[in-house]
Amino acid sequence: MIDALKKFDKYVAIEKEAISKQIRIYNSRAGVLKEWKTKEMHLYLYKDGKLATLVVENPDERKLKKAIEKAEKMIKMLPSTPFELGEGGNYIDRKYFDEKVIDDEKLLDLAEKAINVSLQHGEEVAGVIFSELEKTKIYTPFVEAEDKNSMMYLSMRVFNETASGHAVSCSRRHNGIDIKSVEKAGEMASQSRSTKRVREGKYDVILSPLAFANLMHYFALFSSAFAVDAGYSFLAGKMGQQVASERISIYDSGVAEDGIFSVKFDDEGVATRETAIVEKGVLKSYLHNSTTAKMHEVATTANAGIISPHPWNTIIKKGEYSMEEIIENIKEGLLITNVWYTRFHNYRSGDFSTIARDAAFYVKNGEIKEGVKGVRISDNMERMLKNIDALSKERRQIYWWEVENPVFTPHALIRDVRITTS
Amino acid sequence: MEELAEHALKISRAKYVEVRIEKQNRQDILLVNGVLRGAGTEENYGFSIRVIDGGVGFYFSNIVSKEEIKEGVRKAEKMARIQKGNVGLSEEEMHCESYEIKGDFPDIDEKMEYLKEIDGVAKEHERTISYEEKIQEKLYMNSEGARIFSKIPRIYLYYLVTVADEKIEQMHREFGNTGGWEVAEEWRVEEHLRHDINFLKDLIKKGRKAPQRGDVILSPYITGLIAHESCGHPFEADRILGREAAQAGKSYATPDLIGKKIGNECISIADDPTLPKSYGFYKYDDEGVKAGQRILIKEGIVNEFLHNRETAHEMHAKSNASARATYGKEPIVRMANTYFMPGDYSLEEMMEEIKEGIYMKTFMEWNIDDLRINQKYVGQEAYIIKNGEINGIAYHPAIEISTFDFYRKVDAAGKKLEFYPATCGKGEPMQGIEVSTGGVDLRLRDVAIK
Repeated sequence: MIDALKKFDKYVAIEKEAISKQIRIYNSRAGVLKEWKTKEMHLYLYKDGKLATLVVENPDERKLKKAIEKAEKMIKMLPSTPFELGEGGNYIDRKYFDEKVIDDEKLLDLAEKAINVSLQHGEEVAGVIFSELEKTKIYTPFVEAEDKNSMMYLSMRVFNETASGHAVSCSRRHNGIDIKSVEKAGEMASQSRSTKRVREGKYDVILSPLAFANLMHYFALFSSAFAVDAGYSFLAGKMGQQVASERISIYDSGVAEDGIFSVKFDDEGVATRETAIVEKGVLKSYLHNSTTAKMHEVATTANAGIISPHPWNTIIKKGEYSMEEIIENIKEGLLITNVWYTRFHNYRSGDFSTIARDAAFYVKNGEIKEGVKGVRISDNMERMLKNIDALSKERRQIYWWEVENPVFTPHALIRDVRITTS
Repeated sequence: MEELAEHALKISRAKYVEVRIEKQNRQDILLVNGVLRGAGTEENYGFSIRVIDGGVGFYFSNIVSKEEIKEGVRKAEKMARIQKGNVGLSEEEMHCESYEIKGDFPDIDEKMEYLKEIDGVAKEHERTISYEEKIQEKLYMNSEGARIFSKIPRIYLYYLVTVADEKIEQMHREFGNTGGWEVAEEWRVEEHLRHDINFLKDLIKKGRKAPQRGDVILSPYITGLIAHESCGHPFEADRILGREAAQAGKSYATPDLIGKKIGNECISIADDPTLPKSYGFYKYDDEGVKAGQRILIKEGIVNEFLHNRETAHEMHAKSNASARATYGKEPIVRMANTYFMPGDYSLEEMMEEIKEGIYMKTFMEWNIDDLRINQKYVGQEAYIIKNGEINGIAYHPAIEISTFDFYRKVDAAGKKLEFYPATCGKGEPMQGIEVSTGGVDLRLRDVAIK
């Protein structure tokens, strides 16, 4: 089947087969069970300086022949598109793989346990357990390779009266899911039952891993060279500059053992690796595929996406402090355990706002006081990154509905954050 | 298609089963700073089975064969029954109909030419333009006798333009309809892009701080979003019942809100999937229920929520055809085209009664909390109003207001109704679905402006 692609100057064919399962929990019970079984082939066909991209589902020889004919027709009509293709390199494959992530009985058992633990601390629980097994094969003029991946995540929200706490646990292995995180969410819901409306102003803010991951998953997207070129990044034109506090270093890793987005190779078949995006606050690299790398006159970082490079797992280097030490360092501030609806007024300047969701607390003289509500961060991404004063030793992998690429992150203490409310 | 769908219904022993067989053809084009960065096509063909028998079981596969359908029915039945739940569906009239919206698309070279012309307007600035067309064929059948075939083409365009001078400012816009290539001519994209570039240049040079308090006129571009976010979403009955609690969130609305006053008499909000050419168009929902206009708020009084058959059953109501599913996903309660209904005022009449305030025409940043109460909109194209007249450009004025204050402070609704396309995100896995947000100019009295 693949021989037919050799008539093109360059080609990439990626075959994917996946089985995904989900238990959707609401009103404290498993309400919907779902399963998906998919087969598809992604084709990138390049001839005479022109590139056609196609997706064929459940591919066979007839469909592939039709797709090639369509690509040839498109190529005749298209203007040129920049396209470079990398060579494979040495594959590192130390990531975990566990077929048990899609075991029905284990999934149902996990759901039952998570619901029971939640209800020990809260009145209501909702959430999801999702798991997937995927096999990938890639064919390019330079590479023929295979990969297999497993992932799962649990995302549970525990309610107590009008208060709530949210737990996320992600792993490539069934045993990697941490039920205790749900317990913690329940405790947060209990502790934030009584709330006062927040006063507008500047606060020192601790963002929990769930909240900080939300901001940092946008940061990772903005570090794609495509985002930089297309007007979606405040990092444009800042290579080598201080874009964050020297206390923070940010990496992209396609090879993290338990990173749920780790893969052996990118969409060009190039071996994935770890890339420093920011070291001690200085912008070191954008994320590249071979095409953007050539445009920026650097080497690929193995983050293809053929059209747009994208992050794998974003890894924030751990800090030196315990949570207690961080809280002790606050005169007047807030502890925000989750945010959502992060929206940018200007991608190039980084002006944005985001809303606290779930438990948030007022902190005074090093002590957590009452819960607060109505909290919105209305600030600037670069300003906030430069005001990071401490990171915790504890770090978690976060991936859920609002964080669409995984982030390994500690708690972050950010000074002087602008808080608004309605 | 039909034979396979009938096979699924025939072999199922569940209390309720439905099958969707879908074909989807997509094409997209992406231009960045005048350079073609991607042009692609995607062909989807798959089926989904949903069984309700105690609980809910859902199975999707893009391997479309009798054997796979048999496997899908078996698995969906097992998944539904294992839950020992008590999910019910409201009783609804079932229909058999086949409908098709006309719409063709030219070859890709003609589209490239069209996009290049648009791109040329902004060639001195950073810009990204993306285009997408989609033709979706869907056969829906269920064990209660529904059989709906639909073929719907949709077309969409988006741009982001950046103007850099002493400051950097950005504006983005979306265009989208149900229909074929002919609607693209009606969008006047070049005109909008030219206007936005000129405005951003003026904003950089002449933008000044808005008054800290005053009356505010919001254009349909913004009120449409407000109708969607602060009325449409919280009125989704699945959200009210807690089904989305860990994802899209909960709602300030409770079942007993029906019949209660929530705003001034000039506020009426509707959602109507059947508006011709609208981006959120459909005639029958994804449970085979016939669609029509839903009046969510009528003259300030809460009138109805958005229901599928499951939520209608639970709340002792009737479905108003709000079940929608994207390719390969479970049908859930969704909006279609949500809008503030017209009032009596012209923009000039609204403005002449304002001593001091702002007129906000477009926004970039916005957000709203989990219960859909605490909302924020930051104006991009916005003007200062002084003594009934425009008196300069307002620099990034923001309003942060609770939903209840918003509905209480509106004292005038405009006559002219406009719609804007959007992609609404809900569900897990995420289902980005085509909707439009619509509205009229609204005037709010005595608002804090930040």
